[in-house]
Amino acid sequence: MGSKLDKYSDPELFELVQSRGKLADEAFSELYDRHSPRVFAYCRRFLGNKEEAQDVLQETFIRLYKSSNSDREMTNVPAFILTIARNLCVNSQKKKKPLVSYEDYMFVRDNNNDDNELLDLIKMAMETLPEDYKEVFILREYEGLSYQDIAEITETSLTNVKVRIYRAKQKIKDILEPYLVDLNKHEKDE
Amino acid sequence: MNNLTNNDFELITQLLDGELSSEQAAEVTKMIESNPEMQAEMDRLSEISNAIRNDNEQFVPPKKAKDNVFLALGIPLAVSAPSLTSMSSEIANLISIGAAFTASLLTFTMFYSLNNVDSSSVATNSNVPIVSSYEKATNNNIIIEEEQTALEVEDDLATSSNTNSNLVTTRNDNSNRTMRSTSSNVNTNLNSSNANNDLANDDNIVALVQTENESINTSVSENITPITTPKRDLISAWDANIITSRKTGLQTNNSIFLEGNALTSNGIPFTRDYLTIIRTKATSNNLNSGQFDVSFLTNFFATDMRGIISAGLSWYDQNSNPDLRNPVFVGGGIEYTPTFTSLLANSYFDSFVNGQLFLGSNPSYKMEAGISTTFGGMTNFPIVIGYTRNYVRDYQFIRQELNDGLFIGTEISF
Repeated sequence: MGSKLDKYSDPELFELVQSRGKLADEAFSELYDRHSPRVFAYCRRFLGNKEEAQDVLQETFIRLYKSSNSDREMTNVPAFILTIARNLCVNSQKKKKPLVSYEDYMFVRDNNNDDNELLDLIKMAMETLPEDYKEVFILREYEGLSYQDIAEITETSLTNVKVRIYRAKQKIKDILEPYLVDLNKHEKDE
Repeated sequence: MNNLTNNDFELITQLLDGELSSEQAAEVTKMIESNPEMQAEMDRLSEISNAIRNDNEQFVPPKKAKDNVFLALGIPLAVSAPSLTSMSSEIANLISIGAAFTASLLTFTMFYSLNNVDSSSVATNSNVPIVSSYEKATNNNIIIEEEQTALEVEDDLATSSNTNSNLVTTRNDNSNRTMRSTSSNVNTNLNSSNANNDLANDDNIVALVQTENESINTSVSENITPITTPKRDLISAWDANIITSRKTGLQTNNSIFLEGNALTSNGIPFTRDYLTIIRTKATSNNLNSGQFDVSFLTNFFATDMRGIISAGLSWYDQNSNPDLRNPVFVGGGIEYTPTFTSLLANSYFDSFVNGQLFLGSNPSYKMEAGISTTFGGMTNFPIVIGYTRNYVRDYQFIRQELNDGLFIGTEISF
C-alpha cells in the first residue's frame, strides 16, 4: 500500500519533517521507507554484520530526524543520509575488531553457488581492500554514486576519490584475474 | 604482460563509471578500440561491474528497526509500518503509568505485609540474596541468623551475583521476612593478593574479589567463614560493606553493595538500609561495547516510619551481541513516610512516591513512572535520584531515549 506522501520529493518530505506539522511523522516514515533498504544494504556491505548494520541504520535515521531540528535546506537527502550512515559505519569499524557472526557466515555460504560465484569472489576481494578504498568502491559500484557525490560523502577531494576508485578496481580485478580468465576460457569452450 | 599505464587504467575506469565528458569518452573509446590490451582491461572491469549490478542480494532492513527508530524518537508507532505493535502512544502511556502504579502498589503492599509478620514464624533458611536489612530495634523483629553455613552463603552469593534483577525482586518477594545482614555478617576476604585487598582490612568493609578466571561460587564456598552477627544497635555513623565480584564468561560483572546504617533524628531513632548495585559489563570478544547498570534499593526504618525506594538506571551501548539485547530488570517501589515532617526538620531528605517497572525481555520495552527523589543532609551520604514522567524504551535498541528525563546522582563516602 503506497503512502499518500509517496509523490513527494525527498526535500519536500524533509521540509515536512522540519515543519513538525501534522504530516511530519508520516513524512519521516516515508523517508525511512524510501531510503532504509539502501542504507541497510550499504551498512551491511560495509560492516559485514547484520546486527551492527541494523544499529547503524537506526542511528542514521534518528540523526536524520534530529537534524531536521535545524533550518538547514536539504537538497540531496540520500547523500545526506548516506553521509550519516557512512560516518557511523566508519566509527563502528574503528571501535571493533571484525567479527563474522554465524548467520553472516552462513549467508555467504548459502549463496555460494555457481551463479554468484563471481559475486562472492568480488565480496571476498573487497574485504582485502583498505577501508578507504573499500568504502569508495561500495559507494561507486553498489550505490552507483558519482565521484562528486562520493567526494562529498567521504569528505575527500575529487582527485582522491578518482585515485581510490581506480586503485580499488585494479586491486579487485588483479585478485579476480585468474578466475576471470578461466571463466572466459570456459565460455569460449562452450 | 600488461603494457598499460596508470593513466590508461584510470581512463578506462572513468569511462566505465560515466565520469568522462562526451568528448573525452569518445576519445577514450577510440583508444580502446585500437588497443586490444585496453579492450581486455575494460572487459574485465566491465565484468566485475556487471556482476555487481546484477547482484540481487536482498538486504531488507529488519522490521523492528523502524519501530526502534520511532520509539526512540517518540513518534507514535501507528505512523510506522504496521509491524511489532499497533498500540497507539496514548495507550502505551496509559499502560506504562498503570504498570508503574501497579509496581508501586505491589511493592508497598508486600512491604507493608512484611511489617506484620510474626518474626517467630519466619524460617531462617530462606534463600535471600545479599541485601542488608535492619529493622527498627524497638520492634524486635530483626531476624539475625546467628550462624549461617557456608553453603547458605554460597547460595546467597550465587543468587546475588547473577543479576541485579534477582536482587531486587527476591528482596521484595521475601514475604517471610527473613532479614539477614549477610554482607556485614560474613567477613570474607577472597583472593587476598588482589589489589583491592586493602578494602578487606577494614572491619566494616568486606571485599570479595575474584579474578576473572574463577567462578564466584567456587571461591565463596572455599573461603567464606561465617561468623556470628551481633545485633546492631543504633549508631551514629555510617558503615558500609562493599562486595565486588567479577564473573567470567560472556558477562563480566562488577557489583558494589553499600549499606548504610543509623541515624538519629530529633531523638527518633531509626535505621536505614541502603543498597546499591552497580553492574558493568566490560568489553570482551563477545561484546562490542559496554553496559552499565545501577540500581538502588533504599529502605528506611524508624519508630513511626517505613518506606522503600527503588530506582534503576540501565544504560546499554551494545552493538551486536544478541545475548545482551534482552536484559531483564524488574523493580518497583514506593516511599511512605508518616513522620516525614520530623525528618524534614532536620533536612534529612525530601521524598515522594516512586513506582517503576522495567521489562527488558519480551516485550522488550521498558516502562516507568516518574520519581523525583532527593536525600540530603545525611552525614556523608547525600543522594539525589531524579526521574520524570513515563517513557517507553526498547532494550533491543541500544539508544536510551527518555521522554522527559532521568538523572541519578549519588555521592557516597564511607
